[in-house]
Amino acid sequence: MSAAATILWKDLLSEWRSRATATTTVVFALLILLVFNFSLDLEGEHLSAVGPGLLWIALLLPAMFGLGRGIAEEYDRGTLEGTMLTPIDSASLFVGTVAGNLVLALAVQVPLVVVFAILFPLPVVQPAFLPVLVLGSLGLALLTTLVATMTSVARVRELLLPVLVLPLALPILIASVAATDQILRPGQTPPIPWVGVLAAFDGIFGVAALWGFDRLLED
Amino acid sequence: MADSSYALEAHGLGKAFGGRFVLQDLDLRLPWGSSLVVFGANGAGKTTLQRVCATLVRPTRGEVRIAGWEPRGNTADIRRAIGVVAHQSYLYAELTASENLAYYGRLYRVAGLEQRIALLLATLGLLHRRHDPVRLLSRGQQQRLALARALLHGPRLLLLDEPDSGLDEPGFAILRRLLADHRAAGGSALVTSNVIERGLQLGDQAACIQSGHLTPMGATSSLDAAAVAEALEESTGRMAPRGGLRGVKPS
Repeated sequence: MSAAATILWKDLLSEWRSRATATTTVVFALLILLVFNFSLDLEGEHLSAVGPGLLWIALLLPAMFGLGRGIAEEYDRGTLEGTMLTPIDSASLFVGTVAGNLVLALAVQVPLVVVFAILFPLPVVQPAFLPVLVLGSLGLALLTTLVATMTSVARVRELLLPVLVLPLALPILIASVAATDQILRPGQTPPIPWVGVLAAFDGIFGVAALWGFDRLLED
Repeated sequence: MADSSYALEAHGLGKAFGGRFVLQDLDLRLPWGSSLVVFGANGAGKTTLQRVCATLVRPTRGEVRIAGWEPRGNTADIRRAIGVVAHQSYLYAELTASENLAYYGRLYRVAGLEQRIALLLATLGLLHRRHDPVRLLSRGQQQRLALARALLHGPRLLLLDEPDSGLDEPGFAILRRLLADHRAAGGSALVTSNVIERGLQLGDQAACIQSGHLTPMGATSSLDAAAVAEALEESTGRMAPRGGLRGVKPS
């Protein structure tokens, strides 16, 4: 088993035992969806126009807080230091952590998309949405892992995390919303350009994060 | 393995945090097969010395060679050569004792990992708790498991920061025996302690650290707890903390 796979195994097993992040993230996202559902009386064209944005806000906010929590806890408990004391390279640590966050994000988001489709009658449960969900979630996992590592030493990290993640997540949010909008409108072509934007963001940000992660871990 | 007759070498070592030097002009030579116990009051620089030797913090000035390597560019080799016990156990609360060791063992690529885990758990008296999550283990049992984690990959240099913390007498006897075996096999250990009686049993050489300066005290076989306490008092200019330096009898 590679170092990244070992870290992924540890993260998923820890989360499976505690279910702390998954539970709070699901509850947070459900509350957002319910608040939108009760406060906005959306039908027809209005729903089609606003729906993709609502969906991605409901997916983004809980993911941002939930995915950042793991690395902050590792820092507090000293386990991040324990892993850093092993002879693995920082890239393996980053890839394993991002993979764990991605799996966790998708495990939470897939049922949330179904709940969204029940509360807001839009055809989001379709194969064309899957690449958008996976690439959007990967971008969020990359971003939150990197920023959570940066802010883990800060006293006000709970405030710093959204302040730093939200502006950086805008390209993901814009591309994901636009791609989802294109999927939901009848007669539209597949959202290949927007999926391309998401893939490009993930690729560029992933490479930059791999390069910078090593420096973040130094004292 | 880099060719060196010393497990640890430091010359003029200094480490500052925010302009304040925690370690200053520190010189240290620890030969292979030897164990140095460093005494010092809280805040004297013991933990910072351990963290510099563990490559967790970079020295501000001076040189350090760990297991024969300079830290820059050799961290992976150094980390394979060292085993660290720190104030935090580095254990995952939700994973079992076995799973924690399996996690670290895979990162170290330990051969015959299952057998190695079973052997260490048996040695440390934890075999019957191997399937229990770490959060259910007592403080002393977690410390034993932290020792198992540090020894898992067979490191040649042990960096032990107050390794007896939380250990009962049987646990301390195991620690003493493991350290003796480690030395006999040619390994070395840098041990920091603020419990004089116990600390003297963990090293063959002693030193005290105060305000970041390291002062050799000689062989532990020639020292008793009162002499160490006296030396510490002289170096600190005040009485050793009553709770921390338990080997000291009230005068």
